[in-house]
Amino acid sequence: MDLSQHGYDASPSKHAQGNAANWAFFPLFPLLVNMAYKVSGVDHFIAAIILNNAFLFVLMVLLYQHVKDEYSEHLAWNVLLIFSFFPYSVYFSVPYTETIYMLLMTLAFTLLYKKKWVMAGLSIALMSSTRSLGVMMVFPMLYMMVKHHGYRNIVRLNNETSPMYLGLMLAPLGLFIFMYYLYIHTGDALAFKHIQIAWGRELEDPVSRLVNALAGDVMRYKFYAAVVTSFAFLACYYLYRIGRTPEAIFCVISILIPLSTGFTSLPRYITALFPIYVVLAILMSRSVWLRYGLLGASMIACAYLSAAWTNREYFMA
Amino acid sequence: MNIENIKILHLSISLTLALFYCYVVFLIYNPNVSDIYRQYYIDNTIKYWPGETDKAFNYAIGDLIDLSKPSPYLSSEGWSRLKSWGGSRVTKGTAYLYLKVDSAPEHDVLMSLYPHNAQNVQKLRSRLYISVNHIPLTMVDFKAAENSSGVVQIKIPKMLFNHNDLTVIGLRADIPDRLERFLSGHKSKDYYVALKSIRTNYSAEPIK
Repeated sequence: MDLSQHGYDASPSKHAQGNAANWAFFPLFPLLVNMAYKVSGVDHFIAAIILNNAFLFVLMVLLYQHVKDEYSEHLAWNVLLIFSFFPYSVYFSVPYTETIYMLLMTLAFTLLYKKKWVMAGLSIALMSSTRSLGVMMVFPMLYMMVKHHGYRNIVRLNNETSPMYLGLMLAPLGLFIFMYYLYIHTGDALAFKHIQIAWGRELEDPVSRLVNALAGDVMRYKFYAAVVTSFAFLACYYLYRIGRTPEAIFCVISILIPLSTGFTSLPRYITALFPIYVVLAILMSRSVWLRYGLLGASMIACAYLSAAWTNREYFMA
Repeated sequence: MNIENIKILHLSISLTLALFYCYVVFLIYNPNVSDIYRQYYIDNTIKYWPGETDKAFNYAIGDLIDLSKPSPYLSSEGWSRLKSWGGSRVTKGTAYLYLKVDSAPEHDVLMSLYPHNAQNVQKLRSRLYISVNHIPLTMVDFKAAENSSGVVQIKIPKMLFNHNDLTVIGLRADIPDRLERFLSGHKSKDYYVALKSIRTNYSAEPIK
């Protein structure tokens, strides 16, 4: 909210050490909130909630359509069901970037499967101006391009490949515009990365981090986050096995990178990966017991975690 | 617009974007930031952010460096905090102090290292190798401290202090290799030297 109201900090001064600034947060969502505030005149917080819930509605329609087109209508309903009552669904209604990020991700995959490279590139550009990880969509995009055109044809410049090149070049545009802005504003194009030091994020081998957390104290947040992460990796493997390699590539990258810097917010990041819901929906369609068991457990966890978010519990960061 | 023109348009936009990306990559490698920003955020050489100031490392001979509090003089590597030891610091690997003395010292400088507690250092190997501006200077042993408080003193020749530039003082704990630690039954942290504070003052006699 602070970012949408006052813009980017001139210099680091936040946190107890005074070493934090809001440069870590990407601009698209705060910009849209500010626009919604100017148009509606309501408070920034209210504007963000209204905007996010509008995005949530569009996301659900798009998600349904995408899963229906790529899998089946039955699965599409199951995806919507598990998504609506997912333990972390609270993040999709409050002013976080999860909703718009997942919306753009779903849109990008929909367009990629329809071979609309330029539009997909634009969606990824918007994703990369929402979160730094958004730019990683270029990898599934590249995979799909190579798969569609073949290794040999992709290097040939013709009427079929030129929109593909443009789409690929558009994809990181959001990130690069933000980096250019940060250079003008702070003198450091990578300020969004360098400021992470204020959150105590340190690089470590993600596999060791995961194994250590799983072998650690079961009552700690790290253990719980490691279990969630392990299930997410299993879901990625399943996606690969059913031939959804582009989704699997993106999900693995989207988990590995934050994992290498710590467990903070990792379950939330996983929540915004829509292919994970597809895997859960497939599981739900396997048996009635699994369907109701998964849904029931999810609803209970959803109620608990929503209350925890309201109480500002540390594990809901 | 015919297909050929669309192809040319696509390629022109792609080329423009590629040029823009190259320019941003150039900006990434050439940040326009203060020295203190570079040291803390980019190079990660200092442990605490002192704020945007060019006086962060300014140090007057005689000032006390309280190692239980955040200090811009401390390097990011080599210092670690142990809460159970009352917030004092332990050197691990080589810990550095970055000091900028405003005027060239007129005499040699005596640096006093105050251990966390005298009893504690008796259990350890307790040796620190001292360097100034990355040149080895001496080795001190807390066990050999002549006073009951375990304070050790190092004489630093005045000419080793850089005037109006950083003087880098390195403190490296004498931690034996893994095999030796295994054979002795100690963990590496048993060899860390816990310091409470550091103070300097002028030494009356020049070093011979």
